[in-house]
Amino acid sequence: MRRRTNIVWRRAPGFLALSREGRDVTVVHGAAADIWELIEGGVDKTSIVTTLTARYGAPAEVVRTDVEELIDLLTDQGYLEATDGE
Amino acid sequence: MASRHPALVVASRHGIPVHSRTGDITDGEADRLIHVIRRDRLAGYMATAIAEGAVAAPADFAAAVVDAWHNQLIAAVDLERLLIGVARALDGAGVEWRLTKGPALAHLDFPDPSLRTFGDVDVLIHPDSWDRAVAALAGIGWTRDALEVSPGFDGRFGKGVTLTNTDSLEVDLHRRLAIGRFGLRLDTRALFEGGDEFVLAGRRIPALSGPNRLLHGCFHAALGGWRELRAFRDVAQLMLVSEVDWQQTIATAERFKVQAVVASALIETWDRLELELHHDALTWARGQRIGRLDAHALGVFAREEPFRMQAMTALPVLVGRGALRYAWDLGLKPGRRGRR
Repeated sequence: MRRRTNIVWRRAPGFLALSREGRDVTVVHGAAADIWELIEGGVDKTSIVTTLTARYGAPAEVVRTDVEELIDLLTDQGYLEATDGE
Repeated sequence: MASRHPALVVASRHGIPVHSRTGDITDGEADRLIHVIRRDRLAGYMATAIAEGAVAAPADFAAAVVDAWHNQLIAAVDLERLLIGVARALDGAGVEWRLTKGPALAHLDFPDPSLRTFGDVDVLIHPDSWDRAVAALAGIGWTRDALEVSPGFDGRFGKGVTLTNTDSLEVDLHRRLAIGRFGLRLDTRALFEGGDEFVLAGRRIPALSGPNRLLHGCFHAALGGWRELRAFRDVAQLMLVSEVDWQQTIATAERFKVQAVVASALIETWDRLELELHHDALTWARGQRIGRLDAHALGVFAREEPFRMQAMTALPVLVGRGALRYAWDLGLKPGRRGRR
């Protein structure tokens, strides 16, 4: 997956705000906001889970669920798009 | 004065490559300082200074700063979303324009745009495009919040107009960088010589060149309606982090006889942020002999005297160029107000 280009966003530790034309601002709090930074680096879903599990010491299954929910939300709202092979 | 509090000064210079300092905030000061931080949009600087150990503060104060920063970031995203539509409308109408101040500085002059938050969008319009720009934005629902002082006043003498949308968000269209003596001396066309750009949401956004961003930063720091730490941080950021060509800024200022503004802003930036650093630009500023009329005009703005008083500083400049009409428009139309 990758970020779409038609969005505006700001990031702070544990915080992400993003929007695009015609849509209100979406706000994400907590460790999930880190996903945005990891996606910029072209990391896939499995690697995101591995990185966040190591970073926060949380169980991998909990992190996986959170990551998948957030990626689904951001995809539904038009902030992320799938790349070839996803 | 709260904005002179040592911890606010430490936060406002945090990230500038000068001798690092530390500051403390006590429980008894927290309420007063959080108010200043919200009002002057210093939350990004303060949150970073606390996180990196430059400012020691009670935990609830630190949490309030982070909360304020998040709210300011949401506002910035909201405004940039609207900026995309503004850019499309202006480009579609063939308007020559440059983004300036808040979002331009955030993207071009800060390593992380989240540090520099803002409460409106400022766009400088080329004089030849003014009417088209206002019409283009009216066409997408932006409305003017104050009447023109008199027909044609904006084009001849005005600083610009504030447009608002249905969510009460603001776009400032600038015809000049300031009202009064210095705004009228500086030919806006010169600010369109050169320029920078950045990409926002896939769209090319034109911005003032570095030297002209510094010139506008100095105008705001010396003449703006809200001359607080954030304005001086902008000047310091452009000078000491972006390292824009300040000699070009001075050359433009001298060309249009507004060097008193630049000199005053540089001296006050070094004073308010307590910068210990030697800089040739400061030496130049301290060496300037500011004439009586320029000094008077700077004082009118520094004291934040009413709009008409600030506007009247232009009268000596306008002798032979419509001074009588200008004074008439400003002085004999009670109940009408112009743009500060």
